[in-house]
Amino acid sequence: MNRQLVTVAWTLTGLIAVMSWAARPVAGQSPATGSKTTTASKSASPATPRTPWGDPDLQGSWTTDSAYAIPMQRPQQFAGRAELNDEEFKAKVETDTKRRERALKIGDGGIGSISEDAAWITKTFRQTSLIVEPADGKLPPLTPEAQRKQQLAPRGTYGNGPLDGPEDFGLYDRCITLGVVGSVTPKIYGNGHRIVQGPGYVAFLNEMIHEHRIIPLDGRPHAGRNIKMYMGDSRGHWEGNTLVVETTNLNGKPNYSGGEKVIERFTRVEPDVLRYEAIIDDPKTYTRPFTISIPLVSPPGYQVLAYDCHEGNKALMQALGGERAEDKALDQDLKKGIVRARKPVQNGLGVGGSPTGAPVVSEADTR
Amino acid sequence: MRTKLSLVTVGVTLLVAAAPVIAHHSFAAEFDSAQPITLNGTVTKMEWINPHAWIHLEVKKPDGKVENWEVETGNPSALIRRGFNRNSLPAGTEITVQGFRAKDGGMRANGRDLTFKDGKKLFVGSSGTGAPDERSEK
Repeated sequence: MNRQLVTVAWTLTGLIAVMSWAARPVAGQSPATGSKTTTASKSASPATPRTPWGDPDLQGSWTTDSAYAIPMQRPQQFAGRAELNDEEFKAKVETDTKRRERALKIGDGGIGSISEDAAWITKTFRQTSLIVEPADGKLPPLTPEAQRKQQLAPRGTYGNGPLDGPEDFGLYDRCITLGVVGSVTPKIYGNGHRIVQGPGYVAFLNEMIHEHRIIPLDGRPHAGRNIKMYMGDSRGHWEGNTLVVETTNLNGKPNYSGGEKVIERFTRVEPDVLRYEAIIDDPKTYTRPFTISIPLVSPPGYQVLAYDCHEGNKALMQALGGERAEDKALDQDLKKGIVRARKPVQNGLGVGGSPTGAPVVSEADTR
Repeated sequence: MRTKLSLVTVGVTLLVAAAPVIAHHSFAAEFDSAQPITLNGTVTKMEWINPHAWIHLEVKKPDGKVENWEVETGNPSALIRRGFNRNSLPAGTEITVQGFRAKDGGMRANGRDLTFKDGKKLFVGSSGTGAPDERSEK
């Protein structure tokens, strides 16, 4: 076995070990704790630690939980400002602290006492939106072609049906993937990201919904042009202390992960803050390129846990079962002479308070 | 000054509220908000599977008939981060679960609040699904 294969084998072994370790039942585990809310912001990169073979060391268990408190697009009240002012920041630190303290109370024996899984905010950031370019912090408009596609795209459990088979569900519903960038954008839970490095390789494990990537750093050519994949084909290189990953061969199905190339940049800006930037240039979908910038943190004791999504995904079976029950109810009503419209899947309920059937704009959308 | 501070608080609240509140799967596609259900029973198995864990429950009806129910909970890693562990719901534990029945009429439900015999309550649901009893603040 040559050295390269040995390296790959060891990297994989490490990744599998991490996954197995994360998957073990945890007895008496205290919840992920965070130190007091700090005033993290963009800061000068200190001396980045190095691996024994000399690469910048990005390894660790990271989470976008703290970034969940930053909206994807910039709210109107912060128009023209990429960062909160001192007064706003002070108020946000207080809000984040309250949410975190509520989450930490569960460590006092009150298990299951919160219903807000997004409360694990251990650092407060001044950033007013995850989208940092264009300068207005807004997602660029979709192209007319993409708008047409979006109208036809399956919305699955978040849409209004009808649901007749697996293809009526999105990639996220179906536990397929959130894509290269979508698997990093912060969600309401499951925000763990593990980074493991070996000589010539960087491996990523995204908790939700189980993606992993093993990225060679040796400049080898990409796969052939005709090979298209959900997670594409990634190659990395170092630019100073920043890992730059170029991903090609994308099939364009997951959100934020289309076009000829996605460029991601990973920089350890503080010992416990990793800055992730993704530059998306997908002219078929968006009218201009844009950049998403996400801070990942590594609170003491934080663990990336298993999210083997296909293990027991009963959501499709249940949603399809609900639709078949509605088929029967319609038939029965018809026999009684009642002619009525089919009940929409959301049945009067909005998700996150949105009106029924209204588009829910989120990173969870998949085309 | 007070007014100014209040405005700042409103701004920050909006900033937090503007974050997407989206769980993996929507409640409304699978469960019926018009069919709330309370199950009193004994845990036969806690299934720690992704993307949602399931509590298997034996429920004795007044006529002596036994029904086997399955109750969907939040994601296992979310439960673990809330402080649950493998010993939280051992087989044989008597519990009451409040939730909502599956739309397909099967003996499955989406669990929200779980109460032990000693009155201690746990939230077992998945957050961000749009379930009718969802609470963002507690």
